[in-house]
Amino acid sequence: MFSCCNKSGIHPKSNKITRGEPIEKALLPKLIVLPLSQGIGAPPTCLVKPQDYVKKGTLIAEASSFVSSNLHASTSGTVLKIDRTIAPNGQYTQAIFIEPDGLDEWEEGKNVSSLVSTKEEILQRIKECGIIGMGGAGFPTHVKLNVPKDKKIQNLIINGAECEPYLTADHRLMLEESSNIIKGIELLRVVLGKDVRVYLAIEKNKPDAIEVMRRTIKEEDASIEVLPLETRYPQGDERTLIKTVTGKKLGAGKLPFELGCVIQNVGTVFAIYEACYFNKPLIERVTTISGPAILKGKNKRVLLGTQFLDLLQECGGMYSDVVQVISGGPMMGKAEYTLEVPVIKTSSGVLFFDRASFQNYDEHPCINCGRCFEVCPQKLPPTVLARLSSEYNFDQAVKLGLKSCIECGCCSYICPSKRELVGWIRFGKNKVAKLGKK
Amino acid sequence: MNTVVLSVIFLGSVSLILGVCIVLTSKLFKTYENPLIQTVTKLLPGANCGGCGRAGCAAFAKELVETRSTSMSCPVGGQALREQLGSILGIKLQAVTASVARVLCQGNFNKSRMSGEYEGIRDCVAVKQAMHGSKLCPYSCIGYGTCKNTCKYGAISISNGVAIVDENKCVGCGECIKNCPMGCLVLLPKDQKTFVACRSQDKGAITRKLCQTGCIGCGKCSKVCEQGAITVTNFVSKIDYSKCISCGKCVEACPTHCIVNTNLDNKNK
Amino acid sequence: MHRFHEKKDVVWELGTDRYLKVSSSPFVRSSSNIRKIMLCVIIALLPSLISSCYFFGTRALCLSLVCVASCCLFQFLCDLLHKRAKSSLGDLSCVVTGLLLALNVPVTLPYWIAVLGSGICIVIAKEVFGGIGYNIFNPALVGRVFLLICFPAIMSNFGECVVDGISGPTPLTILKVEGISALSNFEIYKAFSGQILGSIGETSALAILVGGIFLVICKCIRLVIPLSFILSFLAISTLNFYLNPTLSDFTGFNFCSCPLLGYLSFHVLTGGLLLGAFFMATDMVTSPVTWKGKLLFGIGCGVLTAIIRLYGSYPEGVSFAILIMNSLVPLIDRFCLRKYQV
Repeated sequence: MFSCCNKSGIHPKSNKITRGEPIEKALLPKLIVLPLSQGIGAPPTCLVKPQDYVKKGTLIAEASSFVSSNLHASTSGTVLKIDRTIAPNGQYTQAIFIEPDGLDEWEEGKNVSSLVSTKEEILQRIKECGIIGMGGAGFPTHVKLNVPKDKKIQNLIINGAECEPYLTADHRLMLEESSNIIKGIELLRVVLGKDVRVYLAIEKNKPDAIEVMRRTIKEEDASIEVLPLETRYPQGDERTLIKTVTGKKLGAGKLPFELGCVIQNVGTVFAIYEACYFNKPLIERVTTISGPAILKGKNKRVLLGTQFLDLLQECGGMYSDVVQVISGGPMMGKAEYTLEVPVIKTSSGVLFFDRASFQNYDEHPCINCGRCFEVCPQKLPPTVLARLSSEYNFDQAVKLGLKSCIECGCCSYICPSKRELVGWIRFGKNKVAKLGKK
Repeated sequence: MNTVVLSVIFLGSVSLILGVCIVLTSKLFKTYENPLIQTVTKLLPGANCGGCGRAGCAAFAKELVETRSTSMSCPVGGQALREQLGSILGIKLQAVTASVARVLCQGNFNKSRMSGEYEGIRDCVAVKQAMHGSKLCPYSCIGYGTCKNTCKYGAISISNGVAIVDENKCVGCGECIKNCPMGCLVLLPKDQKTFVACRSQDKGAITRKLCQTGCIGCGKCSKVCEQGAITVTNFVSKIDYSKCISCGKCVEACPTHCIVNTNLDNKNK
Repeated sequence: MHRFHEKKDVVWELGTDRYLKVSSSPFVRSSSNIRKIMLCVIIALLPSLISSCYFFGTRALCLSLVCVASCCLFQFLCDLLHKRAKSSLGDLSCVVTGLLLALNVPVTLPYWIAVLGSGICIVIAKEVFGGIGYNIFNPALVGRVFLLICFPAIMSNFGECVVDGISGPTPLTILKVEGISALSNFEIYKAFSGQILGSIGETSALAILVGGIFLVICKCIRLVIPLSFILSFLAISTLNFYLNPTLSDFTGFNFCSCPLLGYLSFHVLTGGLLLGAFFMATDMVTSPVTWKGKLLFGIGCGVLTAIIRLYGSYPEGVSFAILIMNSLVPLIDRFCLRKYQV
């Protein structure tokens, strides 16, 4: 009874159907669509024009400001056009369309053994290779690692929690690339200082990953502490992880380094390894293709810019009663309305849902059960915030902590009245951000 | 008898003391407020719509009385109010052309290509954050009625997924324009009845694919216009209202019926 | 869960006129819904219903059925009036209201009064405020209190217990009217099992506890409200016990031969305290949302019940206490939300 007010989070059915599927390389698609804006930050400036020939790893768009990241061609071919496309977030965005020539030829000097070892070189390489946080938000990694001089980083948390249902990309990566991930972590240790404590956070529902990582750490004699986390969503959220590791709560709008923490996703660490050892830009990522409406769920190493339509070919097609396609996890992902959406740096999964698993919009009045209060990892009053947002009473909502919401969706998940709690809160946050700008 | 006298004296003295207190407090804590502000506020429509750019009618009245600026205007009150205010304040307020909000989209669910089937919060802003819009055209009206909900004059209705402004009810306060996430609404002069109900800057072929009633930038309207009021820039026609005489020729010439004349429409009905 | 994929067609692309559904995240939802919660409450009320049939005969069951049926009927009519697209009969909340009302009235209640009470519950207490989720007061309690005030004589005719044939006033009425000495040969096991007089659902403490524990296990209610309700009630009663020297030679309920414990257990086991604490005060709609608010609410209910019972003119105060606290819920919620302010 008393513990209910300390525990937050939910236990959705994990549905990790693809946990046993080894990572396979995806086939070369017929068209590559690379949206300029891949994550948080200013979109990079396009460097190519139609009819240009690019090779795999050619820089095609350059970071336009500090918080921005480079973009590279993910295969060799001809630039068809620079036009708008629908990005995974559902919005129109400018993108570079490349027609692959099938040779998949690397740019000179890329993907060759060239190890960098000093802090400056590593940071430079990460920036050049256009690496951004591959867990979700897509914050440029070089910005994240560029800690102000007066802040001391004590904890480096490697996020292998992967608490979203269905997704297994990070899980497979840890199983298959464990020693390379550790090499990546060691590079990060160089950047952040020798005395940083490294935690590798893995949810307990992945005992094989915990075991493999522990064994590899022992073999490599690295000082990394594997932190088995209780299986609970949103265990892999930045703020929740910091709370678990340091016991401190990160305020709204604050960045992890203010509490002496840096958090990196397992996928990002692997990308850093590839960049620093082989000068390989971030042009592909491991993506889980799964869901009840897909014939065969797979973990694929996908070239960025591959459209969902092409991914479908790899997995034997989808059942005709597919009603929803989601990019990302089912808790925080985005629903797509077309299959002509490209995989971008932050696409951790592509899920196909059939009619049976689709959640109908069927709101009932709030019955005040208070479950959303109990599950909120940020200890917010979700139903109150949602009500205030729907009444356009944003001032009061901000007073009650609207901006601290991490949009994890626990409240909407648990709500017995099936209310769009996180939807309304997101609506409020959007409105507040817009009003703040004016 | 004694009781009556006593109570009269007692109650009388109590009320006297309290009365003195009231007089004293009102004298001590008096704040001067120009009585004109009150008068002006009463004249204003009182809907606090914010169309003047101030935080409501009282704020407008205060500023007007204090600054006596002739350029201030209440778009709702119009000519009659302007004269009234002018005579009270002894200034001549500048005439402003009355405006009306126009929806630059006619793409209803039959005419435009839909993007996906949206299920969720019935509000354009919420739709916009889940997907680009209810239709594939990036310039289209979402049609979930945020403007309708914010309009204090009941001038906007939603018909088959597109907003329609009733120009007789619209006072041109501009509240809908502030809230439209797509920027589909604009204020245009009220006496001008012809406008291009599309703002798609896509090439004609693309617009055509996405919507049956989008401006494809064919330029037929600018050819038939005898006043030379129509130009096509960025694949969308633009009417220069200093030249337009609302003759309606462009309306007839437009192959996609995206130029609208509200007078003609009303007559046809 | 097995799905039979064999029969489904496999496609490689969407058809031209097929649209994907777009909704807001999360795309998976828990299976809990209002109907399931209400179903849990109904199941939890079944022990009380069965025991009432055992102690008061089949009329208790008939009365319950009349209440439930008329509540559903009134709900149906209200749905028609509200022009609701989807009937709210499906969420079963009217069944719960009907059951709770039935368990809160004496077995002798004429059927027409039961129907009237149901009407008050659904129409006045619930639908006038806007239906489920919007009501301020617990509907069943509003119905009961209405009947109690309008038909005091009928509402205090508790009929006869068919098991041992006792009849007359309830133990709490005896306490109020004749004083503590009249209860000196009262036995605890009778009160616990339900061989006392009272409203049909409130007599058997055992059945209520079984149902209450079921609700807690189903996570339909939190223990905060019942515990704080009962404990704060006990605290006031203990105070009363020590302030009132005549109570110290209370010999009924021979509980560990300690008069205090006997007195306290008498108060807990007779009357509607347990039913109120587990089923009425915990109604989600009319209780606070936050943990702290629930605690305050429970304490308030307990204190008010004790004051009405011990010092008021009514023998029982649970209904009034809960209704008074219901009216304070928005205030409590507001107070408890202050801690969220940043």
